[in-house]
Amino acid sequence: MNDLPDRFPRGWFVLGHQRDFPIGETNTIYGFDRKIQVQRLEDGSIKIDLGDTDEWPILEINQMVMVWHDAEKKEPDFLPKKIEECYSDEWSDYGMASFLVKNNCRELIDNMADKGHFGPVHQAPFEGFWNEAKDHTYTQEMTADSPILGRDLFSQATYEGPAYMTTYMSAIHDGNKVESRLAVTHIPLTLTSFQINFGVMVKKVPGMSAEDEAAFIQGYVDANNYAFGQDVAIWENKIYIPDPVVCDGDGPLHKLRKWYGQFLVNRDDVPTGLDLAKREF
Amino acid sequence: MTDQELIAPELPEQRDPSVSDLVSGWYKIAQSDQISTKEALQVDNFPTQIVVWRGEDSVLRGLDLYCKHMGASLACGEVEGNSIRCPFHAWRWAGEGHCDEIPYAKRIPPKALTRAWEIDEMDGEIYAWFDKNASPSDPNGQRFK
Repeated sequence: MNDLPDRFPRGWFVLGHQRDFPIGETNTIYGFDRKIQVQRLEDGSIKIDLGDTDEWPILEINQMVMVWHDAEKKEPDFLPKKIEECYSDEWSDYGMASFLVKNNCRELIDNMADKGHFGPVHQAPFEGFWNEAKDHTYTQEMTADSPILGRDLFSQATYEGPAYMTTYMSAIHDGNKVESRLAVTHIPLTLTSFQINFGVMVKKVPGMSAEDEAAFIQGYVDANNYAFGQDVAIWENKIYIPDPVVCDGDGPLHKLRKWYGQFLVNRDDVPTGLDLAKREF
Repeated sequence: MTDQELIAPELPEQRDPSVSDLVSGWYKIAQSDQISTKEALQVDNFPTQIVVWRGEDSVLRGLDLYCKHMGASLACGEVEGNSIRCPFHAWRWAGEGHCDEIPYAKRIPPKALTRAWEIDEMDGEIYAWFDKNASPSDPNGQRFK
């Protein structure tokens, strides 16, 4: 059916923001066809109960609580990089939002290379578009100049593994440089559904009140919610084309899908030649 | 969230019409008044899912429902002239089954082809021709309501 993958990908998956797991509490997270009980112990560490004898590595980094999923049950072979802004007083914390999508989580990944969908789906014209793949990372850079999105917009988005993407963005709004960071993470619930958990943080503007800052972050959360809503309308009314006919204006979709495929096979079966030197498309 | 979330939703796929056991003929798929000029309709009561739309010339056309590029439903797209434009990447498809415009491409790939279905209108009803071996339509073929 639909050439669905035979497994959930290997990698780090965000369970939620650290603040959502206070000491002494147990939260239920749905993912990987199971209920995951997440408990913060008195010593501050996180303990998860997967309902069987499985033990998955846990990591707290960049304000997020993550688990390592690997069908082969091997130790992690990479770690997400530390993002200094997540530990800086000059930046806000992440404002978080989430929603559920009825499709396989690979649909979200296509966006990295899918240069052609930004105009029709998001009404977002852009000027430059670059992609780069290196080992477990995949990076997209974009520049745009838009009265709505911002002048001199620059965005750099990087996946570390199949499910943790972080973005740095800067734009000029009303003559002021606005810097923001996004974390777009997801967790598969089943092979045909996944939950996006995304976070937005902004560089604090000197003199801005806490109230204005919260409203500012909420504005970014709302804008991203709106943009994901545009994607979801497509994702929930489509089939998967495994080997699409592409045109000269499409990004490197085949290359991206091969890169993503490394997380869907055993480590010994990962092919070579998945890297892509940075280039413009 | 509830445990309900762990029930996997079923995803659509373009059904293979060649496995249908229907005989050759014109099959009623809709009423004429269901599709106004420059509107499109998703049709499921046929051996495969199709999109049927009425061009600006009032003529009905039909194609496989899902775009052959990246799989979006063309029924969510816009009728433009006598063609239909996909909502995902704006590829525009003609009723004969070829892509006739891609706004961001210099050249349309020759392989950008989809399956066209013959549509006919009679007495306020819309029919699509089905023959599992893809033989051309017979205007006097049997009509199934």
